[in-house]
Amino acid sequence: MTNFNWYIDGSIILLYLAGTITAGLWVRKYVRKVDDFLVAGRSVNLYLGIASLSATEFGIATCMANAELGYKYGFAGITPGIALAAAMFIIGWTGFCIKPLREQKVITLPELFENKFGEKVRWASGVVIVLGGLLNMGVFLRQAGDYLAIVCGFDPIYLELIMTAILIGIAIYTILGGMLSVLVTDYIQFVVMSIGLIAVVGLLIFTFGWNEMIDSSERLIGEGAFNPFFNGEYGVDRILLDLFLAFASVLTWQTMISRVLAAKDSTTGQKIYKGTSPFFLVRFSLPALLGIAALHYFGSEGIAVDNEILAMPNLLALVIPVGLIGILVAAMLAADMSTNSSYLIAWSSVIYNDIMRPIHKGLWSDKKGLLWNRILIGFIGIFLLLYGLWYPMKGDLWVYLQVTGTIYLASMSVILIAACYWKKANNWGAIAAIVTGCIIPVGFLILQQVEATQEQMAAIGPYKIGVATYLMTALAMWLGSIAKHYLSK
Amino acid sequence: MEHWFWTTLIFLTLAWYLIVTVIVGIKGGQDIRDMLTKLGGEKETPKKD
Repeated sequence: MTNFNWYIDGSIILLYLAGTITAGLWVRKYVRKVDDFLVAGRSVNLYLGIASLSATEFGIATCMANAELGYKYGFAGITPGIALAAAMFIIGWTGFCIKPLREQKVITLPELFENKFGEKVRWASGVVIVLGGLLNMGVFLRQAGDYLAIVCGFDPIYLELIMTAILIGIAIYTILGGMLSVLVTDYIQFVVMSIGLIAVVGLLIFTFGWNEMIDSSERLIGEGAFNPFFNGEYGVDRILLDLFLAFASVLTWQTMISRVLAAKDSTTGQKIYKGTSPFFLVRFSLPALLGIAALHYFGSEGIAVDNEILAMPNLLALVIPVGLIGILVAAMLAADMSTNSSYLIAWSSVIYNDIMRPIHKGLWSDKKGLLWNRILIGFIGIFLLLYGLWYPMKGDLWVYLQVTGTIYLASMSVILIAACYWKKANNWGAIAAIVTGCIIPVGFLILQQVEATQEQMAAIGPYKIGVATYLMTALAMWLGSIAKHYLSK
Repeated sequence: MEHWFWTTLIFLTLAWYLIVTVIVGIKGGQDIRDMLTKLGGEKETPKKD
């Protein structure tokens, strides 16, 4: 059941899609070098940087994950957003790591690591970044398909077709225009996404009433809906993981730092971070509010929701009127397209720049480099389709995103801090950190799927595993570096 | 008000988002024009084999 009207809402979506793809294709003529393709010739200014970073970091998967947090934990579900916003502001304000990173004029983190730790660390860093990044991105398409199928009223048997169509649309302009197309489409997507999101949240608050939504949270979740420390499920270990993850992702998540690296100078990069930091509160609070609205609506009506992650799209399909639902779907498509296009280019840039480095040695012509970057984006697209169809989601979506992100966030953040500020850091420590940071979360993901170990993994939980990964990785970096330091004396 | 923290946080966030959408909507377009002018004017030849 949905209010979606194919003539009115369908036309709005078609208009949006035609406008975005045309703009994305139009700027491809400005791409002449690999630098133009990967970092837009390092010519991004403040407002475009804010629009692009905001649009990239808000996709349908993020929206559904954060709405699920709101539905399950109430206002306490906004906690990761507070951690992220604070981390981004502090790092933008101080320039911690991002200033020396931008001043090195590198395209990726592993390129910076080569200067301090050598070629092998650069290559290994590239591998874990791509592994963590692709596993993380692997669930985006299915979430987008689920969301669109419910809100637009598609039959779920068309899910794979929807996923493929979305991906092909994004891949066309990303392959042709690279980061330039991503930036221009991000700008359009930011505006469309923001209008849609603000309108829908405003409408829900007006329709249900603010106090009524608070009362429902209190009645259905209890005191834990307002206090993350009080909530049995949202405890100290989860908050600690939120904090580690917030600082690590702001420092090293390729799609975030690529905006700093594409900025015209380090001061602009810092300003982009400071200016975008409140958006990370938006990224959590507004979807969480949609989840709280779903809890209020279904809870008051006494309707049982089987799958908590689908509560938000089911609510929107039922209560958003014709016309606005078209803007909402366009907004969510905008959010998803900007995220996917940026992620495609982020991971292809690491594969080309770092993993394929031993093959091209930086000597290939721009024409050949551009061709290979485009081929890589095509391959990543195929992987996403296959993985999105195959992987069965277990537990919170946000937790899956945290665990897969940790595969590289833990080691890369530790190595980045050491590379920038610790003179004794060396390649032994870096390799030890990469191995430790990768083994723990990958092991958890595998053991979580194996029947014999499912219970034990559930008992330990992903939060303790996540926190342990960060701590053990830092310890490995320290021990490895100290060991080489003393053994080589 | 009992839950003033979350109420203030949500409404401040919404207000900030509304203002920033207008500002970025206007000035971001100008940034795109400047970026494309800069890239269109660059004469540097691409690297060849």
